[in-house]
Amino acid sequence: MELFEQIIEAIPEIKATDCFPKIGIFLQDDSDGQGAFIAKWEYTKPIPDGFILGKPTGKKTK
Amino acid sequence: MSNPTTPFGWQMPENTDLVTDLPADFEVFGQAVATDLQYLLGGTTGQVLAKGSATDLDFDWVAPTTGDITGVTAGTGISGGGTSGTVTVTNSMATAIDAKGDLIAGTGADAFSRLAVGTDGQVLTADSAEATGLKFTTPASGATYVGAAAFRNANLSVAKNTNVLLTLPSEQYDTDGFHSTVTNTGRFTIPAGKAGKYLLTCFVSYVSAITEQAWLMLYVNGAATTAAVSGLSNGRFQEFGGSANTDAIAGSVSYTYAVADYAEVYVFHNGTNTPINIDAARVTFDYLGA
Repeated sequence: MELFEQIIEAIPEIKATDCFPKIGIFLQDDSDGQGAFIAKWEYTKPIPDGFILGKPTGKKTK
Repeated sequence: MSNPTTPFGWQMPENTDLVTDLPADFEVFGQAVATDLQYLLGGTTGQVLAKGSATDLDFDWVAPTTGDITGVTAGTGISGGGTSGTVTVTNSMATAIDAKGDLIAGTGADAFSRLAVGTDGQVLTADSAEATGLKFTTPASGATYVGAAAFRNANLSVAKNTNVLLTLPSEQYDTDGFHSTVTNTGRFTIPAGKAGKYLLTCFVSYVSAITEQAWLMLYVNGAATTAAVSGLSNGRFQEFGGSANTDAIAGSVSYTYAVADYAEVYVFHNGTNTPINIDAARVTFDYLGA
C-alpha cells in the first residue's frame, strides 16, 4: 500500500481524489529506494499516530 | 601731349601764344601742378601715403599698420607654414591616410600613427602591446555552449500524490561535469566558475494518460523553490490539468545558482491510485550567463 493510501486510511475524511499538496500534505520520494516519506505536514489535523515527519520514515510503526 | 595734359588737366602754353606770355603761362601751369601735388609734401621717415578721401590726389602721410601675422608655424598634426609669400599648411593626420578604412590612432602624447584597416569581419581590439594601442583581430566564432543534457529511457514509478525525484541515469552531453550517471543522477550541480543563470527544460513521458493534475517542480539544494521562481508554490514550474489524451508534460524554468548549488526535478501526479510509470524523460540544463 502506498503512503498516500495509508494516510487516507488513517484519516478517512481525506478522499482518494484529494490533491494532497492542496490540503497541506506533502509526500516525497527521492528515488533512492527508501520509498516515500512525509516531507511537510500542513493539514488541519496533526500527523496520525504511527506516522512521522521526515525521511526515511513515514511508515507506520505500529 | 595733349593740352591740357592728360590725365591731370594741367594747362600748357599754346603754340600760338606770344613769347611774352610764356612766364604767365608757366606760372599757371606750375601753380596747377603744385596745387595738385600739395599733399605729397610733409611726412616723416617710415610714413606711407594713404588716401585722404576719394578725391583725386588727396593723400595723407600716415604710419604704416603693422600686420598681425608675421609667420605661420606648423603645430602638431600640421605641416608647412612660413614667414613670407604664399603659405601652405597641410593636415598631417589627413595625409597619413593611405587607403579606405585607415584610422589615425594616438601613439602617445601629441603623437599619432596610421592604423591600416583590417580584413573583412575583423574587429578593433584594444591591445597595449601595439604602438597605437589598437589592432584588428578576428573575433572568436560563436559563444561556447555550457550545459548538460541527461535523460532516462527506463521506467520510473511515480506514486500518486507524491513528489518523486526524476532520476536521469544517461547523458547526451555534459560540458562541465554538471551531471553524473552514477550518483545522484537527478542532480545538475554548478561547477566552480560557472555560477549564474541557467535554464532548465524538462520533458516527461508517462506510459499512460495523466487524467488528473500533474506538475513538474524545481528543487534547489534539496528543497522546493518558492513561488518567486515560477509564480507557483512548491517549486512548480509546469502544471497540467489532466486529460484522457495526454501522457506527457514539459516545461522550463530559469534560476540563478551559486557554485555547488544543485538543481533537481520532481514530478507529481494526482491520477490513478496505482503508480504511473514514466517511460522516458529528458532534462537540459543550459548556462545563460553570470
